[in-house]
Order: sequence, then structure tokens, then C-alpha cells
Amino acid sequence: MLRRDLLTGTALSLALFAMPAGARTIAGALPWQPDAGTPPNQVTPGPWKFFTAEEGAAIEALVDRLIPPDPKTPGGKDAGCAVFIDRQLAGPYGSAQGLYMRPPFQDGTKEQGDQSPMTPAQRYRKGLAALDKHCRDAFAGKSFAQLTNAQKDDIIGQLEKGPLKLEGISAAGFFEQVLKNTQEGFLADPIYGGNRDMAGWKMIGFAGARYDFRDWIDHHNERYPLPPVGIGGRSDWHPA
Amino acid sequence: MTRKLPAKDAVIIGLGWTGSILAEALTRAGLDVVAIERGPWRDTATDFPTTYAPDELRYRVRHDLFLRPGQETMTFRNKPSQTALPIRSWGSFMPPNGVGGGGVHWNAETWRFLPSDFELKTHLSQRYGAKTLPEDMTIQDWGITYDELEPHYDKFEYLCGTSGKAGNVKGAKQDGGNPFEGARSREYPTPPQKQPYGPTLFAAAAREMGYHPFPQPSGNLSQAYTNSHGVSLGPCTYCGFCEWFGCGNYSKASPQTTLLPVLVRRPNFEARTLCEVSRINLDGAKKRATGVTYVDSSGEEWEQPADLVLLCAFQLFNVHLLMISGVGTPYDPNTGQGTIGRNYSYQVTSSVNGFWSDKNFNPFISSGAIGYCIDEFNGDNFDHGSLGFVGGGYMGAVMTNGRPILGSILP
Repeated sequence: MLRRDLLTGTALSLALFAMPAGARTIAGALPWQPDAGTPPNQVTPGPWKFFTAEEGAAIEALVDRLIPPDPKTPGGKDAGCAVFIDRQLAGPYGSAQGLYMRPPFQDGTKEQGDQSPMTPAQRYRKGLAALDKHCRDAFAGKSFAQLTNAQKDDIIGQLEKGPLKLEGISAAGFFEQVLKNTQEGFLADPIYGGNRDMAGWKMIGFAGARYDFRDWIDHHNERYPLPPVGIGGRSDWHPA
Repeated sequence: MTRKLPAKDAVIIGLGWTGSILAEALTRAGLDVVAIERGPWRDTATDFPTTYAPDELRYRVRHDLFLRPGQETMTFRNKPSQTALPIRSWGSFMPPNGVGGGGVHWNAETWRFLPSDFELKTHLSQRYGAKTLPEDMTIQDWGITYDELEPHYDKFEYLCGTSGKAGNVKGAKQDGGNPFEGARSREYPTPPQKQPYGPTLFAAAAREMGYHPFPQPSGNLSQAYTNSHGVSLGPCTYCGFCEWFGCGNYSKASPQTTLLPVLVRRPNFEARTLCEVSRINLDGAKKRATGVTYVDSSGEEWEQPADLVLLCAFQLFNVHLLMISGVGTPYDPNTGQGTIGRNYSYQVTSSVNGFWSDKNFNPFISSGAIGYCIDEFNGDNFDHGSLGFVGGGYMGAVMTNGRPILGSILP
């Protein structure tokens, strides 16, 4: 994403000295230029951008067991959690952009946080490959997506709490990563590809990006009456 | 090669709250001031407009407005016996980046310290005896009193338009305010915010128990306000995206909404953004600061001489800069010697969550500094005589958001 501040000085800023590539002097007036904001881009449906077809099938199966469908709410797959994760991994999040990713790498205390040199994209690539290998070895050549729900749940439980071990990556760490991103996908603004039709928000009664509740702050103990709305509006505002 | 710039009267390191306030005072006094800021310029309409400011994933979860650890981080450990390791991704501690500093993303809880907080060592020794405080406890008096600071608290609140209810105006107790607070010279500039359901239940219960609940003082404004500089703020809309977010409504007090529009128009002020100060320069005797050296985002190094050097970054970065510039003696926890970095502490709050299956709180309808509080258990507002500890904290029903990803709490 190109940030406004990466652009060189505007007509309103009086540059006393040439300061290329971002740094600039601001004086005389508030700097402002039209269309300089950086709104998020609407994730579009379509082929995987990060996952291979097999990885995509495994992730869809995983998110649909972490958030199983019920009669009122779609599961993780139909809510778009796998698409969300795919687009996140294809973007700056996947490559750990902005994080401190240089040595020294050594394990610390829980309070010192994750010290792994792997980016989220690398974790998924490794974790999914190791999960696939385990499943094919243990279930006569079947992939994770081809297992029964009971078998999938058993594997997920073992990822979380053992004893299953994955090659080259901590099983519990991989589980935690997938769970966290699935929750994000289910509950983040639908503009990022998950929370389709605001299914997650409807389920918990969140009103979304409305930004103005002055008319309801005084309505104590009364359910907010309007349906949620996302940054990109609502699907019934944009009939297909 | 470092290029030397023409001298200024004052150079300010970091253009957040303190930097903006000092820049305003110094330019008003006629000084030529330059502020050097590590992060980018940030502007309400461009950087956090209402159309996409309410984005939990981008701002809260992915830290879009904060310093990137890849740009600058620090190592961390809980005790000296551990190996300090780099903070790779922020946890609860998230340093801001850019013009406005923490003022962009704060909750705008606008408290004053209690009068006894300023003279804590003297106060506690007098009330409980000289032996109450262990010898190795570093508590000390501030060196200034509440009464000396009061005009400045007042000035800041009237700069921000703070919404609240006074509990003590010039010594006269006021119903509905905090009876334990120090005397104020006048009422808050704007009345308290409206309250969601939850805090009103807390307030009713507290009142029944004989306590004195009062609305939390808030820099999210209850109504439109024009401050002493002629800068206007709008009313808060209770959007529920306050802490960790910029405000799209111009209704959270920040340098952007209270000072910068006036400051940038002054001919004797300029800001340089995406420029990071790497050291404070000293004279030959190492007794006087002569300016700063900074690096711009292209890697070019510049020297900015100035008569005054003001450290206005977050305290950790101020301390770091002092240490690498060879100013003062770093604090050594083993010997207790040195003042640079001494007594650094981080804000801590603890909380319990309540769950009612028969009530609807609409938790997403809230602001950053909303709720009812009681001060009966704060500071030395209660007798610690036989308790074996000193200090305390406010209690309150404070609900800042109902955001779904990190705010969903299940029973």
C-alpha cells in the first residue's frame, strides 16, 4: 500500500532543503491534497492468491471445523475465512512487513513474545505441508480435507494439545496461528474477504462501521435496531 | 556526510502533545522553532476519515498507526537475570508514530493527580510515620505541588474542551463530581458525556453503598467546543473506535484538533516529518546542548543547531536519546545511583468482566473515556494504617468498545 507520506512534498509545503523520499518540511499551512487517503481495497473473489489448490482445500476444511456452520450462521468456509487468510498472506501481513525480523533468534519467556524467524506465510506453507504429510501417512493417502468431520476434529484437537507433532513447525503454534486468523476473518470488516454478508457481526449483534450512535446512547437496555454496515456498505446496497 | 542547517532558537524532538504545546508557547513568544518528528504527518481528513477509521483489523490488530518494530524496536525482559530479547511485534505497549503522537490514538481519559500524589513521600511519612516506607522504595516528592500545577491543568483542559463534572471548585465541594479531587479554579469546559447503560448501573450501586460516583473526565467531547486558540472540536458520536484509532469526527482532543491548525500558520514554526533524531549534540565541556543530529527517511544526515533542545518524545525514547548522547548518569538498579531512566513505570489497570444474560448493553456504543468512577480507593483517600501497602486506584464501570475481534468476551 502506497502511503501518502511516501509522496514528496506537496504544493503547500515549503521545502527549504531538498529532502527526497518521504521526509519533508511542513510550514505555512496544513498540508492537504485531494485523494491522498489510503482506504482499504475491497477483496475480490476469484482464484487463490497465496494458497495452492490443495492448501486452499485444507484451509477451507480447517476454518469450517473451527467455526462449523449452524442453521442460523454460515461456517468459516462460507463466511469467507479462507479467502480472508489467503489475501492476508498474499499481502504485507504474510511477509511480516513492518515487524522486527532480524537476529538474534532465540526462544524467550512467554512475556517476550514470539521469537520465531518465520513469517506468517512461511508458517502456513510449512504447517499445511506437514499436516498434509501426516494425514496421508495416517489415513491411507487421504488429505485433511478428505477426512470425516470426526477425524478432522480429532486432528485439530491434537494440533492444539498434542501429541501430534508436525515436521519443521510447532503444531500448537500452527494451530494458534490458524485459529487467530480464522477469528479475524470471521469478525473483521467484510472488505477483507471474510465475514461475508456480515455473518459474524450479525451473530454477535455488532453494528459495524456506523460511527454515529448519538441517537441510541440514551436507549438503555434496548437492542440497537439497525442491521450492521461495513466500510464498503452492505450487499443489499449494491444489487448484483 | 552530515550537512549543517542554519541555527534555530529551539528544536523540538517529537511533535506529539508536549511538543505541540511547547511549540505553541515558544512561537507565541517569538522564537524560531523547528519540530523534528520520526513519523509521518497525520491529518484527520486524510489519515482517519469516518469512512474507514472504524477498521479494527487495520488499526487495532495490525497496528497501522503505530511505530513499526522493523523501523525501531527495543529489547525486553522482566528481570535482570533474563536475556533481553527484541520486541518483534507490539503487545500491550504500542508506541505511536507520527505527528500528534499518542494524542492521535489515546482514549482521552483526562485525569488530574491527587494533591497528595505530588508530595507522596512527605505525605505518607507524616500520616503513617517515617518507617512506613521501606528504605529501598524509590517514592519521592515531585518537587512541585498540585497548587503550582493547577493553572496548567486548567489550561490543558480548556485547550481540549474536556467533558466532566467538577467535584471541588476553589475548595467548595460540588455534587456529582469527585469529592477527593484537588481544588479546581473552575468547572470543566463542557458537561459530561452521556453514559451507556452499564456505567449507570454501577453508579446506582455505588451511590447505594455510600460512595460518590462521578463521570470519568473525557477528552471525547459531549458537545461542540471552540478552544482558546479558536480551534473547534465536534461532538463525540460514541462510535466505539477510540483507543488505538484516530478520530474522524474531530471530537477527540489531540494536537490535530486543538493546536496544529494554529501552529503551522505561524511563520516562525516548521515541522520536519519522517526525520529521526539520532543524538543530541553537546558543547566541548559536555554541559550544554547545542542542537541535534537527525537522519531523514532517505538516510541523509543533518545537523540542526539550536539554543534550546526539547525532548518531547515518549519517555523511553527520551531516555534512550539521553543515554546515547552521553547526557547524565543512567540509573543502575543495583546501586540505586543515576537518574536517567530512574522510576520509569508503565500504566497498569486491572479489570473484571461482568456478564448479564438478561440485559442489553450495546457495548459498541461507547467512547474512549466514558463511564462512572469512584475515587474512595485511590491514592491515599483511605486509611492504609494496618494494610501493609500504600497507594490505590480509581474503580469504575468503564466500557470503551464492543469491537468484535479482540473485544468479544464470552462467559
